[in-house]
Amino acid sequence: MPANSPGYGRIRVVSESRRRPLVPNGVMGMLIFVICEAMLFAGLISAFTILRASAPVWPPPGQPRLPVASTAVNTAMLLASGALLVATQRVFPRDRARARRPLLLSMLLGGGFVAFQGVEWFRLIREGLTLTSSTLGSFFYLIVGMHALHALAALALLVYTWVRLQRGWLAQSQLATAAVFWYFVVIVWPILYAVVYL
Amino acid sequence: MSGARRELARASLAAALVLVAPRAGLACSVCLGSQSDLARKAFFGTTMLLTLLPFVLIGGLVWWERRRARELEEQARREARAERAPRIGETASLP
Repeated sequence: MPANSPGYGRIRVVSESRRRPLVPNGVMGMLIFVICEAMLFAGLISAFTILRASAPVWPPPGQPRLPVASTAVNTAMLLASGALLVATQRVFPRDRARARRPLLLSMLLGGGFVAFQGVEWFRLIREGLTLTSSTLGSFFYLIVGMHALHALAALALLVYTWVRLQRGWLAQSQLATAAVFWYFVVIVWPILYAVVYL
Repeated sequence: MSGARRELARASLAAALVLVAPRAGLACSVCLGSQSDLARKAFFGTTMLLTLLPFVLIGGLVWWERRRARELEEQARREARAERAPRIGETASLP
């Protein structure tokens, strides 16, 4: 019997509530992944902090100094990349075509950050800071290398997002998923910079 | 004094001694036996970080989800209200 038939009398059938997911599955999965990775970095930071505090002399003698000033510029570049991704996410729901430029710039700045880190690594290795030269070298390459690995993975995801946007296949949830990963890379770096470089 | 009470009194005395003499009861010679004050502070700080960070991260996620749920609920309520409101030129049907 249909709901509006006279037999129902005063009973009113309320339409079934429209269920919407709170957070898209991709975003939730990425958030859980990011939480796990945050704990990994927290462990690395803790180990480095204790090692540094326990060392009688820091940095170890005979080791090159880390490039504090140039890495600060690089940090600013990464932060700008994160800000551009925020802009992309704001523009995307209104005008997808206009979201292309900030996303591309964000990717370029992110790529620039990784490339600059690579150049710095080559310079430091040439100056004698290697994985086995000192505890500073071991931890530096482990922590910064781990971050670079995450940056590369997140960058690959951004490139994939960009390709989908170009083809008109990008959904808002996919952009948000990639953005969560990139924000994580952006937010973790200043902390690592403060702990390792300063 | 019965045997059980005597045992309880002994155990309480031992617990009190341990509480008033924590230096003798240091369990971790690496963390607390360190000579450097800076190292001790580092151990304390990183222990706090690793203990509290999971709560902060998971708590933050739960808080954000709840806020989002409230936003969606509010949005659904607004939409339902807009659907119920009679449009211009339409006559509302009386029950």
